[in-house]
Amino acid sequence: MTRLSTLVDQHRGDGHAFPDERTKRELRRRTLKAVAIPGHQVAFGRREMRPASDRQLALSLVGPDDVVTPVDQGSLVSRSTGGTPRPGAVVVLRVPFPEPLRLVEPSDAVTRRMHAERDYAHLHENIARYGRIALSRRYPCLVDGTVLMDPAPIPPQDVAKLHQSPALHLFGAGREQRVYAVPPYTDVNTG
Amino acid sequence: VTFDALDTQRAFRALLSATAEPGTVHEARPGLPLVLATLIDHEVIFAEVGDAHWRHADFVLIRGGDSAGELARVRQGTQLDPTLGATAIYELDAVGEGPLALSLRGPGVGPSPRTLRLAGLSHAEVTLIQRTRAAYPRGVDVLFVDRDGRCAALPRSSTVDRTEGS
Repeated sequence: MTRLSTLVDQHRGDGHAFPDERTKRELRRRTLKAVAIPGHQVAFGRREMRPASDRQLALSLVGPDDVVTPVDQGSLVSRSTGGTPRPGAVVVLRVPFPEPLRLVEPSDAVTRRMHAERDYAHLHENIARYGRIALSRRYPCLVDGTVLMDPAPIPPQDVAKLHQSPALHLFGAGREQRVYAVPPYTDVNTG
Repeated sequence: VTFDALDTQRAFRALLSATAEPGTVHEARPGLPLVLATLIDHEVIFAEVGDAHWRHADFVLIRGGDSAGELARVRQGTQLDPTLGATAIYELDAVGEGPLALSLRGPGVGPSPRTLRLAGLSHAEVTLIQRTRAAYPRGVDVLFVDRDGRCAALPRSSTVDRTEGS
């Protein structure tokens, strides 16, 4: 269990810049869009923004009343101690590769169009043909019945817990500058 | 009025909770000035009703609960980039109480619909908001704030029905 000051110290240890108010505003605007469109990958940094890590996402929302509990590949932000996501809690996770369609399509322009058209048949064919192991241990899931999302780093046996979870989950991909979200009480199907 | 980093952090959390659980009411005192300070800077396009750049705005402000039809002309994003859809901020007489009752369904709501009571939002405006949800994931995200600093949200993923109202 840590407080804001500890999170800040850990963050400085990473060698990243502490997000200034301007960076935080941009992160916050993009985070709200991500929550408003569950599962949709939202790009941030329309200017020369520094790479935003999951920790910067956490720092853009944590305040003095919060308790920050480290979880695997991220942080649980809540008003009380304990490592279990509760109503009102926010789980912020680090995602190495946010695009679940990357396995079948290298181009970003094409994956964006595939998401827009909900064109997921090709990926499903690959899963059917080669099984899940062929997906380099990635387990895409369908959020709100519409958007295909990579729930990494949540281990496969825990992805089912995302379904109708009482907590808000935020996924930050620092390298690819994206954030996506699963609001509380949202359908997540692992098919 | 100026706000510090703790004020905007507090306001963001209120807006985040409001968006994550549509129809729930949160506090961001003193209201509209703090909400604007939290979200708006020179990197976004901001417009009020009547401004020339209204159609291009990232954030639009409607003081009172009726845009006189202008909400229909707010940017809704594209299928390829629905995040280009704007956020509409309404300053209302009351959020969390009032004669108008909206019934919400969708992500963040849970198995049974949630009711949000409001004062000051016109019936015509409710219809306009409903129409912005016809081509999801394109759409407009809505924030309500009142003069006591109470706020609530109708993200585009929410389905909105009017259950009663004067």
